[in-house]
Amino acid sequence: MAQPITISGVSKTFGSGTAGVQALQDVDLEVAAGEFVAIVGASGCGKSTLLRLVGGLAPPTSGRIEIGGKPVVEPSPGIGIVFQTPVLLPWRTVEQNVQLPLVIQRSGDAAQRIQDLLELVGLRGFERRRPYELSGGMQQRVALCRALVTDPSLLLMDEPFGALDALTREQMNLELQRIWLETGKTVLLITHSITEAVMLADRVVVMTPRPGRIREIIEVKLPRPRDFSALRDAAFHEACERIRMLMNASGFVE
Amino acid sequence: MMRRLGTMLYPIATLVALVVIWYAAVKLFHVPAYLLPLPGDVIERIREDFWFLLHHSWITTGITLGGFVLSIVIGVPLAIVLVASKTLERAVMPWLILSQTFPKVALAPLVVVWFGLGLGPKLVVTFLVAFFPVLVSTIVGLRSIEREMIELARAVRASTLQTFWHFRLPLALPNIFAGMKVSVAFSVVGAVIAEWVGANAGLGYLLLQANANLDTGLLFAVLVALMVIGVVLYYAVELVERLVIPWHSTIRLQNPTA
Repeated sequence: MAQPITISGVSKTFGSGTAGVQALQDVDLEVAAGEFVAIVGASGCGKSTLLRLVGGLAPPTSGRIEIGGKPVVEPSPGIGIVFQTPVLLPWRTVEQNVQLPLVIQRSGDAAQRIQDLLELVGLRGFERRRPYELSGGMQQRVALCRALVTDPSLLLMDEPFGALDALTREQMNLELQRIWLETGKTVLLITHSITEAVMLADRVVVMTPRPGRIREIIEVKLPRPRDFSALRDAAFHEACERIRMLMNASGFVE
Repeated sequence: MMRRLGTMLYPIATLVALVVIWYAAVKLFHVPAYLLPLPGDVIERIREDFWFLLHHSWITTGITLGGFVLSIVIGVPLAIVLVASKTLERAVMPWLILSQTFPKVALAPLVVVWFGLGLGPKLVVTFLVAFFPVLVSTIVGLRSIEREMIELARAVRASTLQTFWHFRLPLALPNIFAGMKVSVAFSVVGAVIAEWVGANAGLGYLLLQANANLDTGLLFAVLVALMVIGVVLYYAVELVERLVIPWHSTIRLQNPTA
């Protein structure tokens, strides 16, 4: 079910001429089917732009992006996206928000599937609540369910936990890992947290800013399922240090 | 309920204070009744002419509501069209803004010349006075949608119509209601202006009559009637707003227990 992503020679420039800003330059990346890849980098390194290109929300200026061998030209039904903010519709209940993609695509109500998803993220019993009655973490879980409700083969996440407090964030990391292990989807996670990236990903892509380029790809060889006790693991530590060094070397200090 | 009464106490206290000052001023400076009648006299006049005032208030309320409804059924779709078409917006919007800079009171006689004396021209005048707030706030509401919300709509592959119906329009409702609340107050003003030219009934007409006869008591009675109409309609719109967008923060945060 999961699908591979092929990004080859992708550049993206916003605007044109001398006023143009190059967000991405010659990005090459292969993501295997079912792989969990995290992209880290400073603000403005184009990592969110890259995600939007993969999601078909914007076209690359040059280069090619393929998902499952098919070029990306527009948002495809096989992709679920989780944004930085939950962007839930306040007049819809939790259940109705999760249902939204199905309503738009007129593909039945799938009540059982919605129940299962809410169960998966621990939101049973909140079906009829409105978004404003939920905490930030719970809202982002609803957004995750909404992204998963069409059973996409690829999950794109744009700093989904950036606005959450540290504790909730760790909890969400563990949940995401569990969901990934259970569903086996391909995941592309944008984050600025090195710990989060190493904790979750099979490979961590380090990007450098202005223009956004891939600096290095680090493989994280830690057994699954991981938890935060792995923080003390030597391999974990080593990967984090390596990424931190790469980011600092590119003139970025967080 | 008790809290509600508590919050109502403040405006009532202000009213009482103003009436007391009014009364004291008239007594103290021996203001003649044709300039400023005593509060008691105004109340007496309202009681005396109650049915008469109610009849004319009814007519004015009709024109107010008619013009207000016109403002919505024309203002909201017009805003939608202007937001949808950049070209049309560039061509039309500057003139709409310009149209707001000259006094509508000056337009009223022209409308009478063009459309005659019936209900129609009165609705047109009221509409001209009241539609702009609805138009502007609807435009602002339709535009003020977050980037990620638009991206979400695109990611779930919503058509233009679906994006409008499921995202843009509901998200614009709080702004539309804000515009409607201004518009309903303007509608009362519009109705009075409409009745100043070529009417033989309504509170605007009564105002002119009272003025011509130096009947200050009646004048004040009419002002009170207009106030009541304005306040009732305003809160009616607010009530509808509560029912339609209970999810919006301006409403939720007012009564946290609800």
